[in-house]
Amino acid sequence: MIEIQELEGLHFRLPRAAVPAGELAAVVAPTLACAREFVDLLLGLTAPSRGRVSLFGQGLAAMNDAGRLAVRARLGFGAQIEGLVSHLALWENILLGAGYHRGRDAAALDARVRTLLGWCGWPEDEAREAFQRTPSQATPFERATAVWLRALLGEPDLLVFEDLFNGLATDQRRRLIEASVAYQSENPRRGSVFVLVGDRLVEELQPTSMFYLSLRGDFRAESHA
Amino acid sequence: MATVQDIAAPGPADLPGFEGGLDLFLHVAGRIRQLGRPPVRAALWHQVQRGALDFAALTAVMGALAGFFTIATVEVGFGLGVSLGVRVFQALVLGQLAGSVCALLLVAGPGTAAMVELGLMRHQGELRTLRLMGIDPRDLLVLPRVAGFAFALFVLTFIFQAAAVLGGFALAALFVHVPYGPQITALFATLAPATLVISAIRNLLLGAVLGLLVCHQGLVAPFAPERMPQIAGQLLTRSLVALVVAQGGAALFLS
Repeated sequence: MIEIQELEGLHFRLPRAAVPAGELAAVVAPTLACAREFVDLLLGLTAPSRGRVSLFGQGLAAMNDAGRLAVRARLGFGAQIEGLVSHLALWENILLGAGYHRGRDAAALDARVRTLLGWCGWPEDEAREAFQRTPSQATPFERATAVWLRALLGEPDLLVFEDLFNGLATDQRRRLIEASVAYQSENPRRGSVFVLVGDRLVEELQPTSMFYLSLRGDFRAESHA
Repeated sequence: MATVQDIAAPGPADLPGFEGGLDLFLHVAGRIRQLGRPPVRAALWHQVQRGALDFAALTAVMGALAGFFTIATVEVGFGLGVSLGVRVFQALVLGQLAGSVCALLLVAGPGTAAMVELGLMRHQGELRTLRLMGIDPRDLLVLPRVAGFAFALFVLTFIFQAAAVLGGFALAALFVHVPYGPQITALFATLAPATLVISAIRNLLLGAVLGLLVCHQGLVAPFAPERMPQIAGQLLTRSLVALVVAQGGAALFLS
């Protein structure tokens, strides 16, 4: 699903890493800038100065802009900071990806939203009230869940979350991790990458995570199976 | 948790490969079908609502007053009579004033708001998120605004013109005792269908140009929240130039 070879950015160097389908990977970055650089290189927003990244077996660096957008349409991306369109309500943000890529409207997605909210353990009426708020009015958990829902509603094979757990309480993080595992267990071909800022959250992911890539310290990758 | 120093700067190129307004125009022209996607359609409706529907009542009042003052001044004040007065009304109010007033109204209100909205989105790094979601920001942000401004100017100008004729003539009959029926008869006797068609096309094109200017100013031109007054001034200046060119071009075409 993801293959990285000798990848070098401004903030890190990653000799070799691979995340096969069906896995949940935790990538730990020391700063948000480092996390963003990793995501930008992984999803082809910027070209690496050295090395190669392959996503779904395709090298994004060699593609044109339209090709890269098409590959990204196959995955679900979410970031809690600056990850929502500020002038849209949370509900409009949630529908954005599935509406744009799959032509689905609110009615078509309603049942799925209900299921996903159930996995998160968030009462539906409470959630729907929160979804009327804009991102600046919402709490970190409401923003994170909106980002998470938006990413999953497109039914992607790969989820990529950037600093999703920023500002969340332990039980809120656990609910989102467990819900992500439930989503992944629906289809063995699905995979997830959680790009974390700071390694204190890794322990919470470890019971479900097979892969752990560290972008910190001496900038060498560590991979634990 | 992220600290202030930790926040990464927005991407180096928010709309890579875009040189300016012409590129935006070519993209919009080639991507009209994207309006069928639900979020793009919703953004278009939102823009039409903010641009046209929210200003419909105000435009109607301004149109009726503009029509009334023109009739009162030309026919009663200058004593030029119904026939000449209606010709002046047609050329001045319906031909020039309607489009100009509505265009300025659009730029000053929804145009500035949309420009600030897009500029802040760029400043806050939200375009990066859209691109990482596989969404071309030009489809979601530029296309509905350009189409929305075109449609809004078309609708607003029509409302202004209709209010100027119906409301202006009615007010003139009420307050300066210029008979309503002969005004209408004189107007329809001189109003050529080609004039209406050209006026409609001009408004659609001018509205699209205004939408492009707004998007260019918000997404491509240098933007910083602290420079908002200067940026809004630039938008207004460029819109005025576009307005003069469009009005002059249409007048030349009709002459």
